[in-house]
Amino acid sequence: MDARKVTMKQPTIEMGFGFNDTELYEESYEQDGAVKEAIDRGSSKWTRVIVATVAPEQLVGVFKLQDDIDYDMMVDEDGSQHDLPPGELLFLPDAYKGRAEELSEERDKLPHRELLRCARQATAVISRMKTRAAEARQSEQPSSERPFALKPLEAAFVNFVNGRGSRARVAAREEAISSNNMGAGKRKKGNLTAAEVEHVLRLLKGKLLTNEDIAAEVGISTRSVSSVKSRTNRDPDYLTKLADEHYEAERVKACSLQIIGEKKNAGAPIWSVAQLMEEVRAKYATETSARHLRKLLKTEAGMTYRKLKRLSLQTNSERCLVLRSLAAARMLDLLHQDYRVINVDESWLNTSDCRHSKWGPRGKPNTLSMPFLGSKVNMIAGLDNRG
Amino acid sequence: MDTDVFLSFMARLAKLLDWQEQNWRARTVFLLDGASYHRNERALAAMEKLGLNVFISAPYSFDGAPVEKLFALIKQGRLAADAMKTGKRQFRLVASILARRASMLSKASLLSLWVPSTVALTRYLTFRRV
Repeated sequence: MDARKVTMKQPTIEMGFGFNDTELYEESYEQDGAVKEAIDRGSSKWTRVIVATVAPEQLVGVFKLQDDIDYDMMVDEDGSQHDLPPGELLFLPDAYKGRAEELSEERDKLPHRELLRCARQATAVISRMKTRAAEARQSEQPSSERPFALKPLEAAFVNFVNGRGSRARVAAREEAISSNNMGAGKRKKGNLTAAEVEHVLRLLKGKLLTNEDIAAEVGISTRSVSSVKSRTNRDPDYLTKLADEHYEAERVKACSLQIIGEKKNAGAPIWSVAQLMEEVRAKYATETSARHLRKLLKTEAGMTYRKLKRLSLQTNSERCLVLRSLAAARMLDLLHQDYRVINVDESWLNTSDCRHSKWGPRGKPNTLSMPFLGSKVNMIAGLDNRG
Repeated sequence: MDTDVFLSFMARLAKLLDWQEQNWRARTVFLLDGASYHRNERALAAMEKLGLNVFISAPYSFDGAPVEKLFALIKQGRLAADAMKTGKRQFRLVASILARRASMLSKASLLSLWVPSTVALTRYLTFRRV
């Protein structure tokens, strides 16, 4: 094998692009004026290119690199008509390299009026994007009629993977609850609040209404009404006790939410429910259950327990905070002026087989000869704000 | 991924945009993250020569990049176990699944991705930590 010839062991694929695993040539070339050469070099990694644009026409085009792309025409295009001078570098964090002392939170903090202006810009941008999305939603084809529509079996698989079935059930249940369509007798007695019990007792005092009438009035089951009636007969303090219980539950909830809110605002990590329980106990001398806290975190605080994504320490350094702020102000300005912003980025997917167990004969080693590493699928995509 | 592949993609994208619309460069900005192959001298010079207006985002501002959410959508769900096996044929299968998934995303859902990113930008203004 030629020393300068390198065989690509792991084929690379670009999203929407074809790929090949042919040979790459390790060559050095001149740095200056090497645009065409660089492009050709990149091109050599693909035998064919399929550019798949999603919207608006869901177009698939196939280019033959050498025949279809005229780089010279592209590179030498005159930019004199442009609003922006062509090839302008609008923001480059590297421009602040070695000038850390110039960047400080205090100095670069936007004045209140500027912040308001940016907030207004952001509101306008968001509303514009929402309108565009709504218009697109109205005009778009049903998913089953799109050129890339999944076949029925594939759709069934995707629905299964995405758990749409269970989501639909949850949605139906939520809808039934919100429309109070649960039906008499379906609601549990334990769900009655002190206010509801008080309401029932007030109606019972009148002695004019039947249990069914009261159930319909309060929106609970007749069984609950008769239960309240018999409990009150047995224990005259039933309502007071229930109110106390309710008050205590509300207090525990408020204490827990206070702790959760403090942590959320301070950006402090909530590692576990046990840690929260401990903190609630220490601060408010109140006992609460893990189940209750979990429910509060999910429903009230809108949080989920997820895999941690570690960031480096300098992520939130003063320099980064200031640069993010400067870049955000500039970008919001561009978005507000309705420039077409195309966000280009790359990502990858590991295709290594991560399954770590299989059925095997008892008493024998459960071995399987297989490659440790899979190919890496590289994706490169651009997303613009015009759809 | 390297500068060559990136430049090749950008050149092709520019070609596609040329084909769709004349004079698109006037009001188009490319938002890129600060990867080394985006901001090295050669890449910046090439993009300047292509006439592309470039905005390199600030460090660690992935919340403000809607395309990150696009990748999350593409990767969502499990790929079939067979597709995760190594080998050229299976590799093609993974790639085709990803391409198909990308193509399935509607215009409305793609446009919606800009909303949380704009919200993130406003958070950055007040020095909120990521």
